[in-house]
Amino acid sequence: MQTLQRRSDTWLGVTLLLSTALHVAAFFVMVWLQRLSPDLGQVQTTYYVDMVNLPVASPQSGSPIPTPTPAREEVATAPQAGPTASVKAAPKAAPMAIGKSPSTAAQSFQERLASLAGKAAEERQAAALASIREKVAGGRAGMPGATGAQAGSDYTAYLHSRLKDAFRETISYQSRAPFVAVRLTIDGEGRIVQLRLLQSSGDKVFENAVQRAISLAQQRIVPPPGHTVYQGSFVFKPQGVTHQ
Amino acid sequence: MRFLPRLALLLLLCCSLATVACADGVVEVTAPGNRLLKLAVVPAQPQGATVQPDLANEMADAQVFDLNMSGLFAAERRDAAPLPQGLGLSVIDYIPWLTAGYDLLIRGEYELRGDELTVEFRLFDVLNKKQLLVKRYLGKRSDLRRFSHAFSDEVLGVMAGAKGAFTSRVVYVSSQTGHKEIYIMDWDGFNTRQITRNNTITISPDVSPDGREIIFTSYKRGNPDLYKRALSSSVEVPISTRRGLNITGAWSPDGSKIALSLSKDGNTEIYTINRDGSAPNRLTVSHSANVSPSWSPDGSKIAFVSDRLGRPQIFIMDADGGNVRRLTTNGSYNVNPSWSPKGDKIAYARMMGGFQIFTINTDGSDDTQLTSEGSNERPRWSPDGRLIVFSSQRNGGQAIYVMRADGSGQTKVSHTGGQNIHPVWTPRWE
Repeated sequence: MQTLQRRSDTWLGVTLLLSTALHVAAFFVMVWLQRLSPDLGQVQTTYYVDMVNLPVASPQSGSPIPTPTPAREEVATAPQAGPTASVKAAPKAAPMAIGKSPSTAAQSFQERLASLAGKAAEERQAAALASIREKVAGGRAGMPGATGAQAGSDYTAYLHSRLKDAFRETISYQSRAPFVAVRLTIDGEGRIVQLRLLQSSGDKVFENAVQRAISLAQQRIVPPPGHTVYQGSFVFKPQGVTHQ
Repeated sequence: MRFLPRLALLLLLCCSLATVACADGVVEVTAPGNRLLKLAVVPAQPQGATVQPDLANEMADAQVFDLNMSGLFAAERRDAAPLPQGLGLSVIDYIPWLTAGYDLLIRGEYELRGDELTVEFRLFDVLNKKQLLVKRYLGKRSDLRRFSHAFSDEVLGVMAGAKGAFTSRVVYVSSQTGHKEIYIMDWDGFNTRQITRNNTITISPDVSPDGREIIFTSYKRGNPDLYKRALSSSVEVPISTRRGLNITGAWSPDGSKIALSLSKDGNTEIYTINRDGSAPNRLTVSHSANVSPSWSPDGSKIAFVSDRLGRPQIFIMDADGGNVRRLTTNGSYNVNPSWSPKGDKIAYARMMGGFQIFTINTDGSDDTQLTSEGSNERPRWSPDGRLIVFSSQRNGGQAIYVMRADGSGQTKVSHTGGQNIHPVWTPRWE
């Protein structure tokens, strides 16, 4: 009877030890896993700065980045606000480090994480700047050549925008698929000095609507860049109407 | 599956590049919708000592109705302070009209001396701040609605490239006296006048291309014979009194011939005769009924109704009777063809319980139902092809209605009692 009880006590002790060892091991594994992926579960705010070519309000002033050299200085400071904000969004609750006091471990981890986030932000910012510089050097941003002296595609885009706004207010037609193609000549003062009808589907109501849209747009347009004469062709159509 | 978003992105990029490439050459400007031009009609202001606001309002209302029915304008009557120096010398202040959202403005002035009326109308482009049209009319007081309609025609000419047909009138059959007689009215239902007084059945009128004469079928001698008379005269000349039916006469576009249905051979066949009734020429040869001829605008073809296949359907043939082909294939009972002035469509009535009006392209495509309320028959196109007049049985009586060519704006225009049927449009007043 005593032998049986002793044997049972031994087994109980072994089981207890084994269980303790397994729990300790599991604990260390979890801590080790958390150290491998410290960002797991945390929320990080991300800011995007989308660089696009918007129609400029005053096209004769050209691009917001007039020449490549000063452009670097301007854009170098401009996008800083976005990415730096993400550094402030560092995690507030860091995992506990082993072998150190909880407060020291958290502080050390937070510092390391902030350093990593800052580095990542710097890299992103550098990449964005490099992209902008590349665009400026290639003349793809703002007005061509970025001098504001040439009538280029941005003035066309600007005119397109003005014409579209005016056309929304005048569009009217009586046939199924009307269209009107016109060639506009705009003098250095921004006046439409010639309106040539290139092609028309023959819908007089639509032709009138286009003519009225151009007259309306004329009241709102500014002179071409460098006060040069601008010529461009535009085809007016109702939205969603296709031609066969 | 993972490459799909990349593929979509690539396609989007290609589209963007294509747009950029297009922008280098011709830039496409598009806008949504198809708006009605907002038009303010200010009642004409008096020029002399005689002030008659009712007269001015009536002219303005006539124009508002015309231009709204055109389908191009949202017109409304708006009162405004008279111009102190008259229409000719005053400078129009466009700003209030522009602020109120108007695109166009009609102002006018009138002078009434006894029964002599002088009216001047002007059309202004509010958006571009310029005058588009000026017209002056001299006549009698009774002409005031005609002057208004005439200016509406001109407005459409300027804005749409083709004059309206608001000066045209509608000839129709009414039983308001107890007998079916022919009447004429302005297209909007005003100035109704009785034409025939035969005290018998008088039906199927048609107006000559010059608008001076009408033909119709009358039973005044017992047989349904075809008669002709001038609108300004009461003399009725029989031009086809052949045995049997002499019905559904239709003037050719050049006015030299008349197509009609004659049953002298037994069944009704379509013939053409000279305008004086001579030289009958048979066009159809079948053992069935052939009625209701309608000329194409160039006079080269005739649409007609035939039941040669068992049920009435619409057919087209050359003006000499050759090359017959069936037009309508939907529905089992299609009648009353009317060829549009532009020549591209034919309006007709289909029996579907009651009758409903349809239009169909001359190649048989685009068969479109225009009416759905009540029973609607006898469609006829306005001279400009923008409107269709028809007789409709709604709310009890049968009345004359007008609608746009797309079926919108169905409006009752006849105001006389009795049954009002068989409407026909006259040419416009030149």
